[in-house]
Amino acid sequence: MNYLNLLEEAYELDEMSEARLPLLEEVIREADLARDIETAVEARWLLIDTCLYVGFPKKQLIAFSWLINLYESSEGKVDVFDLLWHYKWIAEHIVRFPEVSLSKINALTEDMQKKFKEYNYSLRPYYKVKTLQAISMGNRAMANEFFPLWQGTKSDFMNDCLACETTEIVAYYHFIGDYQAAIKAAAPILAGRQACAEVPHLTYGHTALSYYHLNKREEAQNSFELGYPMVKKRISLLTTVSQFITYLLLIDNQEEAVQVYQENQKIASELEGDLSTLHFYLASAGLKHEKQEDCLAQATTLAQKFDERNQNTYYQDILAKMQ
Amino acid sequence: MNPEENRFKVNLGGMIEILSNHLYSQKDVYIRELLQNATDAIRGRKLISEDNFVGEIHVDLTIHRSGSSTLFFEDNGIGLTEDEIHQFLATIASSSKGEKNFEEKQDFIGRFGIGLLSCFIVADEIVMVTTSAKTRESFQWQGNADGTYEIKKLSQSLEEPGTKIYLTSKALKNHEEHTNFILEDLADALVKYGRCLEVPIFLTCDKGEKIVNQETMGLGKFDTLESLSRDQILKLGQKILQEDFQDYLLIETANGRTKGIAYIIPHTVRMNAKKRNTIYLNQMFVSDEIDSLLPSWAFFTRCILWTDELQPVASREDFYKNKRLKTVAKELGSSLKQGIEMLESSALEKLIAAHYLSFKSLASEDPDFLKMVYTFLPFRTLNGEEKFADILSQNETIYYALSVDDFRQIADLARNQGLIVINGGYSYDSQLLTEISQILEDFPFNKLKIIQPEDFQHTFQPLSFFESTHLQEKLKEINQQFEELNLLVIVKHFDPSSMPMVLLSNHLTQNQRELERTAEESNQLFGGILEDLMLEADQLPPAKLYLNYDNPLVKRIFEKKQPAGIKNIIEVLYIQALLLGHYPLKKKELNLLNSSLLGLLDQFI
Repeated sequence: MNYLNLLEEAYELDEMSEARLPLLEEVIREADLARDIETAVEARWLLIDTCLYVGFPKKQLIAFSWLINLYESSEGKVDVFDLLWHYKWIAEHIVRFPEVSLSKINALTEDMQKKFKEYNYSLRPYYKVKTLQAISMGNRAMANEFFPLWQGTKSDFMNDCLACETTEIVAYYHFIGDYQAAIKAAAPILAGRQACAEVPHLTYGHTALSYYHLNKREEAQNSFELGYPMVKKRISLLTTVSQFITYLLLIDNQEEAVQVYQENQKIASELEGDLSTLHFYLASAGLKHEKQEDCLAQATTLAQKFDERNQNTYYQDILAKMQ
Repeated sequence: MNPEENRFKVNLGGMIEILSNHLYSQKDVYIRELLQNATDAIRGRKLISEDNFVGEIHVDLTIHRSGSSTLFFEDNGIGLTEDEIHQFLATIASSSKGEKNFEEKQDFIGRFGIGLLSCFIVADEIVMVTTSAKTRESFQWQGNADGTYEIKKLSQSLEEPGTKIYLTSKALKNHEEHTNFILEDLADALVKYGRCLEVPIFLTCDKGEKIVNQETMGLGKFDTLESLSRDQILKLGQKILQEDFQDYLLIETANGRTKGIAYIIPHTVRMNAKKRNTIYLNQMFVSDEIDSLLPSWAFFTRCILWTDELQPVASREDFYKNKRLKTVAKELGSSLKQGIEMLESSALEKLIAAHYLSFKSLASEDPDFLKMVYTFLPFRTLNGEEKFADILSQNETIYYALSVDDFRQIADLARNQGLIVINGGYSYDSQLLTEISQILEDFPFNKLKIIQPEDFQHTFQPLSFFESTHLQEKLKEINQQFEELNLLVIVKHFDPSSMPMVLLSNHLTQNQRELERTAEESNQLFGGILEDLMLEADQLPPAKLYLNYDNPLVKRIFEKKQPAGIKNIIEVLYIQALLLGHYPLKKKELNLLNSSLLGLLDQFI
């Protein structure tokens, strides 16, 4: 069986299709065996792109590790732009693994910064990654330190898409509890002027909760109703699903919250104990149903694991507050 | 009579800016607007006149001696009364406040005004002479790009109702040779937009007047598609879509108000390729880039569609993605599916060969469709790629592996035992095969079953009591040494005896292998991170290396006295099993191979 045929087949499939992964993994294995570096590089980039949409951050990281090593060890085999472009995602997502220590996260992020500087790219993506890492790790001080730097630094063409960036700004305001600013920032997305493959999907989770806290119940419900069908059962958007469960519990709609839990439980169980699993079980710990104990146990274990790595009590505090 | 001096009550410059730079993406859109106005007027007149009324549109381009040029558009439609002229001007004013109003109204007069105004994209002056079929009075309206206009009643009314439009443009002050170019452009635009209009469009050219839409006039109006021959339809595809097709299907919605031709793209296309369908609304061309009117799985077609039920957006270059549109898309999808179901098997086979991924994707979501096409779908087996019908003919029981890894592990054993095994690890396959196995339950001929590495383990025969006591000590010692590799060596009897060993491991162990392999090839930073992500050894079941005691080589190994030699040979067998399974070797394993071979050499020399 020729692995180049498999690569062809992967090209024919949609970039966002999970069916691409087994094909690409096989291409990588066979290309490695054949020492076909060009194909091995190409297949790994495709794998990294697809993982961004369908989850599997571990597979993504493994592929990137191989690429960055090749980049550092042999000149001209890996395109610098490709490498830096994807480095942003890797650095943003590395905090999702509780096994990776803070010092290693920092070392990786500094390495990213170093490489951006080396090629004279704007450091805006670096500051953004730092802010997003801080949000994921529940580190308010760090988020507040890097957000102004991110916003104050000029962008270049290494910048992510506008709609994604707007959503990330919304995420920051939501995280620090400035709900008014979150809604204001989300305006171009809510008006339909900005969109991409994952926006407004990701945005509605933030706006549902922000509107709720601003006591705008109708708008909050609207965000939920528009947003949930877009993220349902999508492994890479599980954190937004979790936000909707939180929202439904806030408005005391146990019934629908349980339904959302049940619809997404399967994909949550397929994840390998990463940050979105924590988000999912943390939100679900407040559900009143037969699996409540399970959710609570999962949430407790994961919250401890993450807090220990993050050197704070952010997630355990959320859990304590819920009880 | 004193002409009435008037002024638009809108910022005309702003309107023109919006029309020419923002609203429309095509510069020739004023041609569409003029055609639309003329057609609407003719349709309006048809409603109130006798059966023998025949509508006509005439177009002429004149280049004046002064260098300026005039585009002339004439229809014999219903015309406008004085009130209606004032009304359209008022509508322009109100519609400029928000496009919503203007879209919802959809009335002839309002659209007429916007359409006329869009001509300022190219014209400096517009003159309209119109005679209403209702009053038989004639009026002249003259508007300028600076926003002034005047209306006057003509003392002598024209005999025939209708509207004449004169667009004068100083910008077209061109040299002679430019005239042809412009005329050609004009002809192209008339054909593009008006090809399917039911009204003949006459264009004056060097050889007199010709009808530019003669061949396709009224195409797509009810009942005309079915009457076309296969040849005519294929030629139409060539003409409109500029692509040579070999096959097509006619599709339509349940109410018949949207219908068209779905041409089958004769080559493989990407599933996420941009879908480019051409669509006509009320016989007028809307766009050739519509991608929302057919389901995503229909990407192997390019369609020409006609509709009279969808709502266009303000620019009339796309449609509102409303409920109606979704229903239409869904119904066109099922119509396409029905068409595929009716195809002869040879045609279906050809179609699936070029677009099997799309068919698998569709079949994975639709059991009925799967029932219809499964025998034509290709799958990967031990023999390469085969059509399912051919696979079925090879044996009564067909097996399929759920993942690429399972397939890889059992391939050798299965081949040696003469089993027919499909690799279900790729795109949609395992899901489809599971569903096909249920379909096959209704037939007595074939069975389709899952096969996993464990199934083979059950067929392996244990060693006899004597053999087992003989090997026990040696095996124990060997396995202690292999713990480091997370490998368990097991000796059994199995078929065929020519196979000395088989290596089986579960997916966790496989993933770990891949992680370790990459960690070895990573820099210090990433290597360290990957190591953190590795599972603890006690979480991983060991890979199992089964040695076949029916195999002469294996038997010989255990006859050896020195345990070191036995270990070296098993190590070589292990590496060989990895290579046979197409696993890229880790550094550790390459080193192991070298040291084992050296060890063996030492013992011989």
